[in-house]
Amino acid sequence: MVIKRIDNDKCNGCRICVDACPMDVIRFDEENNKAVIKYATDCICCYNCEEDCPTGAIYVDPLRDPQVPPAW
Amino acid sequence: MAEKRLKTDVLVIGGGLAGCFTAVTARESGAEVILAEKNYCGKTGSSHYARDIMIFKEEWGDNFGEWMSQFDMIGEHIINQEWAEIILRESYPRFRDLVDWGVPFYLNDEFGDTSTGLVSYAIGSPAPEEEPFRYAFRKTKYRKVGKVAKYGERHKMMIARRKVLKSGATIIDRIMLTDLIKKNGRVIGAAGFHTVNGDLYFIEAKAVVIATGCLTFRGAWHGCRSNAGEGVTMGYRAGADLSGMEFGYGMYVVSDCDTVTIDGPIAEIGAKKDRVTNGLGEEFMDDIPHIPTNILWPIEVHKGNGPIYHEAYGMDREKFKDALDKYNKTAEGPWIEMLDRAGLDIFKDRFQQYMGFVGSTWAGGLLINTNCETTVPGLYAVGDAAGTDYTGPTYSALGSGMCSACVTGYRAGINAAKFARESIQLEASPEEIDSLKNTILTPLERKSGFQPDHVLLRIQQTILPYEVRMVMHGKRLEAALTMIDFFKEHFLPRMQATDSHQLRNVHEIRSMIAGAEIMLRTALFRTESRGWFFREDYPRRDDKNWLKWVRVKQDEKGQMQLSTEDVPRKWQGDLSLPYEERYPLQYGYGEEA
Ligand SMILES: Cc1cc2nc3c(=O)[nH]c(=O)nc-3n(C[C@H](O)[C@H](O)[C@H](O)COP(=O)(O)OP(=O)(O)OC[C@H]3O[C@@H](n4cnc5c(N)ncnc54)[C@H](O)[C@@H]3O)c2cc1C
Repeated sequence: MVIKRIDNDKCNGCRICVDACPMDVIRFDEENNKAVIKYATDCICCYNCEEDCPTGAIYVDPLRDPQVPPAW
Repeated sequence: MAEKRLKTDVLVIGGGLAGCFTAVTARESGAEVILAEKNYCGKTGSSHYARDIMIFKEEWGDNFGEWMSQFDMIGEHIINQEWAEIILRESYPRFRDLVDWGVPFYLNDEFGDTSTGLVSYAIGSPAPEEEPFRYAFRKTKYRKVGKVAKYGERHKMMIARRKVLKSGATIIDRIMLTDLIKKNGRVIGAAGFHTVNGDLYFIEAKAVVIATGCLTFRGAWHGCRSNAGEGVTMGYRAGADLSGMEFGYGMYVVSDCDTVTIDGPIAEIGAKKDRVTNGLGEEFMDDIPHIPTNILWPIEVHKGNGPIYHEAYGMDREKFKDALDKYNKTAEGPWIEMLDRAGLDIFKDRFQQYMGFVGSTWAGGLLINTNCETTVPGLYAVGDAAGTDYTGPTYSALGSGMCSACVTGYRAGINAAKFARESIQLEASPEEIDSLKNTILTPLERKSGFQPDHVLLRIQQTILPYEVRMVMHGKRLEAALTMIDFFKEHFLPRMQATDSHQLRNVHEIRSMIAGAEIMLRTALFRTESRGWFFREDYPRRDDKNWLKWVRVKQDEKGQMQLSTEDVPRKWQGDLSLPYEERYPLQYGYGEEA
């Protein structure tokens, strides 16, 4: 489905997930020095962010988003 | 919001493998290079998710004639054999380049290039005799014709990024280019914006290389969903010819889990035992493997025999534990882990699957000559964005997408650098700049309007159902076209972007609408069936009329012009053969069923 959460306590502000996102879903909150989910509906479930996060702060839900109409 | 003006010799648009190759080669040929990527170069593009690369090497016993005849048979006699030969012959040198860049490949002593110990068939993959390419044969047997090297490395594109930077080229990330700048009939740069901070970008260049990948509708298949074909459609608007746009492709995906497929994991973990069944529980594919699912599955569904199930059997999870862990770490993705998370067991469950329609194929796109020049001076195209017709209406070999990205990228790098050396930079006129600014930014200025997610869903509902672009029919193509025309006339001019992120979405949708129209019109135009291209109303190959390529271009008045070019006689194969022999890959469509 989509990226569900970035755990604030675990996020170390490294920005790796921000770069890793091919859909610009994750943005960086400069004030709090944390990555934030900004455009969840554009998530394409590629798992880049979760895979690359060095602290395991990100969780992506793999259930397919019903928004994409299936071929049949 | 600032306005940035940059200048360079060669501008590369898109930072997948083809773009990286172009940038490195152009830089090493002496040109100043800027590579603009709408995401972060090194983490994106289909290239980031792909694993296998095709290598042809006579020293390994590969036979050129045999490879070409396979390409030709699978491509059903309308492939561009000149390009196919170039891609084959240059596959090994480009593979060596990747190795020099530091991209690791699985090591396999038995099948590998033992002199260097670098090349490879992945450890734990099926024996090459059984599955060199997962070719699609219905009535013929597999034949081993070559090797495929596998990327085991998830971060190969980061290695490519570092190579680009080391070469001295400049990378600008999060820059989405949307329109080409033209003067005196020549492309002299491109315009776009920063998707995060909204800054406008005008980049003037002596040569522009389109490396934006395939054209997709953000369908169900992962990995390429961020490619909406902007490069292809901006080239089209600049007057360049396109080729092969009627040939789309799909990939089968698990319905319940946003995961590519279970085929990859099954193949990878060593003991490939799987079956595909229809709604009646029948194994309708005989022993046909996977690539032709593109057309066989939709046809089965169309007969009323859906849905389609795919399952692995006779395997023991514990036994393959190590192989599974290894697979999770490949470039393709953590599929097994995600299946687990979704509560699905690859060893026990039967998976319902369907085709995720992608869009333009590896060989369809901006028509290029063997120097990778498009039909518009100053404009080049590479990789999935290029139209080389090397595979025709199918996919000729697993690993050839990556391979052709490297080969075309390398050639374009050399030729674009040469073109830049020999030309002077033309200045964009202030009127042109103003007009582009307008085109790019207007959606941001609207106070209300149609939102991107609304229009995206409409496009997907129109183009993704199997009965539109998989099992095609003139009437249904017309119907879809009616809707796309409506989106173009009604939604597009009224779309609103609330910020720079949504502006990106609007411009992707603008490209999808143009791309959908091109794909539907070209599909209507080709009144026959061939390879994966299946027209229910014209269910046979028509050698008399359609040993041809379909070309599209936009004329001066903005009208779409369709035309054909004959496949040279010498590439048409033996026309005296009976139909069944000429086309051994029978997909069971129409009268053949
Ligand atoms: C999941 C998956 C698995 C695959 N597996 C294999 C495989 O195993 N073997 C194989 O040979 N092929 C495989 N393919 C196909 C192969 O990946 C492609 O043929 C190849 O990577 C194309 O490279 P490219 O550089 O042309 O395009 P891409 O890698 O798609 O790169 C295009 C880049 O352009 C950028 N871009 C797009 N629009 C713009 C714009 N407007 N402005 C700026 N930048 C833009 C994109 O963000 C992207 O980074 C696979 C494809 C997918 C999707």
